Amino acid sequence: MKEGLRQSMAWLHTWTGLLLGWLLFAMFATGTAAYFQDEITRWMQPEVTGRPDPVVAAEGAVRFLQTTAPDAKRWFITPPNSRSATTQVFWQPDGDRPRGSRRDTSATLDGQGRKIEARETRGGTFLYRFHFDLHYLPVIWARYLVGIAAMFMLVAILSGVITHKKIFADFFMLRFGKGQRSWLDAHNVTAVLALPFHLMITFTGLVTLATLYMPWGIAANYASPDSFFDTVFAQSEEVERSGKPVPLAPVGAMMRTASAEWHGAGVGFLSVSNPGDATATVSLTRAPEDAIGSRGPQLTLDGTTGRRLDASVSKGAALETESVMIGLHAGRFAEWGLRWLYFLSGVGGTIMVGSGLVLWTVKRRARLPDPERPHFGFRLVERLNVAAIAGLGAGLATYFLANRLLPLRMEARADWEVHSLFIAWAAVLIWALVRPARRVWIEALALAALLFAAVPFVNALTTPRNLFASFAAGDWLFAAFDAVMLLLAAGFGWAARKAARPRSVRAPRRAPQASDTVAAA
Amino acid sequence: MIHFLAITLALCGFALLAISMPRHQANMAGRKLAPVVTRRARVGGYTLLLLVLVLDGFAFGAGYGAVAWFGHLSIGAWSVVAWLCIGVWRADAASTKSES
Repeated sequence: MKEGLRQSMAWLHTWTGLLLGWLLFAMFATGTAAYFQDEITRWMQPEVTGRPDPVVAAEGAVRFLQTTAPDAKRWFITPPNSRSATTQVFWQPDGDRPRGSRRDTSATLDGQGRKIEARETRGGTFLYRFHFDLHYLPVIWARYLVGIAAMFMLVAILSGVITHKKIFADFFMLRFGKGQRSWLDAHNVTAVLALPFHLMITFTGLVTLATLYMPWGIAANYASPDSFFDTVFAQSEEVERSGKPVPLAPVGAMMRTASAEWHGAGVGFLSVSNPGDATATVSLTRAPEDAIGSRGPQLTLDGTTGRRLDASVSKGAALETESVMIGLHAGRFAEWGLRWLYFLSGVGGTIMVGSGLVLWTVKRRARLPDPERPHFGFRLVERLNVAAIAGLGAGLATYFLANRLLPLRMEARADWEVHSLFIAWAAVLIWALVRPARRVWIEALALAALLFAAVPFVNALTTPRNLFASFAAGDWLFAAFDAVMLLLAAGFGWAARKAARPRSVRAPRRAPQASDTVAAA
Repeated sequence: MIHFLAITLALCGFALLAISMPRHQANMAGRKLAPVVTRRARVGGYTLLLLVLVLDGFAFGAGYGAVAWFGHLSIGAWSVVAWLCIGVWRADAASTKSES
């Protein structure tokens, strides 16, 4: 080997990090936001209030389904958890009926089982799905792309530990105003101080879709992937309706039976087969917030008597490991304190990826033959960085603004909220391509800051739940959401101000202060 | 409350580890510390971090506590970084004032 390990690792780190870095930035940012997906959904449906009881809500959902889809093959009910306010129901129509769109076979209900009269939105769920399904792209392609990005991330983390040899000597080092040195410090500090989180989140992220990325184990042992999933996840077998109508026993009692079996843990999901028939069965799954493992135990009861039929067999070691790994990744078990720790670690990861992308250009700018006229690759990376970092910020803020500003009864409203995110993102990309490089960082970051700062104000103008009202009412969810928007605005604003400082190729002997620059300007 | 306590302890632990590193001693203590003090700070720092693990384990149980521990360590360490930055800013501001 001609070059040393560190050089080859540096090469690997640079290029694996860059090639899918923009996608990784978006995955980290939206994934971090998704730790608060239920809270974001609540903010995006300000009409919905209250803290419904899951058992009452499930009974209400059954009443709704009995009138809406009495002869469905299956009902699926997700009652509210401790953070959400609504019940999601979905039903599989009888086989003879033509399959409509998902909109015709699903509904969002309130705590009493009434259809919710609130603005149409995909809420935090969209950010969660985008994090691994992306958008405007067939899901399967998106998941392969995301998987490759995650694999690159894993390589970048491991090679990064070897490359940045001074990370442990520079453990607490963050020096401002020193050009490349500062970017390296920021990259190191956000990476190393949450290294266990970054490794865990990247590896377990791959595990969530492992059967997609590595299907060979299943292919070698099962007739089809479906038979594997049926075996592992205990889908109860489809039974023909007997045609003898027997009313469904109260699901509230069934949920209490299940909770007692699981030492008090709640029910997170119910599936009812052949409702209203003598052959009805009800499968209950433990709520994901009540243990780290994401695939909780299941209990199947007779739908007409509530008698216990079957309980899921305990999982083998491999499945149990998978369940815990996915649980660790999604953090559904985390109560609010740990949830904030997850969120802050995610913010650290987002900054790590972002600072790494910027570092690529900062490092090369000093070495350019003519810094005024950089080569094509450099210009491309520089502009894509602006679009990925500031553009996504502007897009997310626009998504929240669109939620408040689009007409409430608009056709396809939820879709247009999502479109507005990407319109804003694309606008910043185009802006980044046409503007002079020196100006574009400042302008795009300032735009993102302004848009985030606008969110609490637009919220105050369009809903009665403004920041002061939220504080007065002790509504910490709304208050915290507005506060985080203002903090993001401050962060982007600070970054814009930093970008506005005259750029020095060589670091000055001692860091000039931000206040000095303002005084000098 | 447990989170607050755990983060504070982790912050103290990392602060001790930082002060055990020669490059931070000038900033934090104003002078280079004797080797024996440095070693005590290092041992004390690691002990505190372990103590946070024990605290988290008792407060949240083994699995949940271990996850929380990593979170507490990250926030504690970032707090030390922020603290050091503020220290450097202050020192710079003071020296700028005295120069002018």
